[in-house]
Amino acid sequence: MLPDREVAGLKCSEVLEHLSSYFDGELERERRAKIEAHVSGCDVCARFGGRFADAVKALQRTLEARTEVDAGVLERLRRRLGAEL
Amino acid sequence: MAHLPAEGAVNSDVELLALVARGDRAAFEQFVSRHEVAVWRVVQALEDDPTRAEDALQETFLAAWRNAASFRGEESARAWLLSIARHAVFRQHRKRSGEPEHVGSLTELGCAAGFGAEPTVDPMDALERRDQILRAFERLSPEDREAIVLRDVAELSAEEAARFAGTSVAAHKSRLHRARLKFAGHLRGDEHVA
Repeated sequence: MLPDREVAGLKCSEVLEHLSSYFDGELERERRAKIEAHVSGCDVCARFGGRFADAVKALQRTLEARTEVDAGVLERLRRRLGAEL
Repeated sequence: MAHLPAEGAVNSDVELLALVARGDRAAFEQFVSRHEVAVWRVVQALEDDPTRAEDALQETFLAAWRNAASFRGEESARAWLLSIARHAVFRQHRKRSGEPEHVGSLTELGCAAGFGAEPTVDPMDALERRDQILRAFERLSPEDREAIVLRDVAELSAEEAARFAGTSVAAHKSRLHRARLKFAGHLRGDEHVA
């Protein structure tokens, strides 16, 4: 069950709703400040927010590492383009 | 006859595609070199099967060669190319999948991702496990993966990603947030099983 406490004029569910926009730096200053005030007084949101940010960053690092380009992939691309153009 | 400037000169993508539209292979090679890694990153993240990912990569550049004349410069060449790649990947997905997507509420997704739950394992220990992360990512729908890849791998802005996916900025942001929550939920589920 979601703990939906109101802290600093904002509910936990509202923090949850804006978490990605917060981490992507897309919130206007006022909402950003409200979220930060809520999180500093809510251990549930502080814990989940940290965990969510870690998960997003870990995925980003993993996808970047996975997409290092194998030379064979590019060689086969050149070969096919050479054959079909 | 089209001409490339002297070696070392930098052509814009618009100039290159204009040359490609007239059949200039040297310009096309330059265009491919410039964008092949970005296209590969996107198709590989959207398509699990390495063979199909390679097919999509190759089909993308073949389509770019054939359709260069249709590029109008209203968007960046990178965005144009990625939209071709998107069609190549999703055409393959449509052939294979007919399952409807489950849409949970934000609260449901948050709880599944551990919102309000006590931590049971050291999150960083689990998060560093590459296979777990990829497994959790691969359980997402193609549309969810796409939202993440466009922003976190291709590094498009929310506006560019929305235009690319043919949706509104608000819908894209909602998709991205839900996708990240689902990913965190899958990762958490995996940790609990491990």
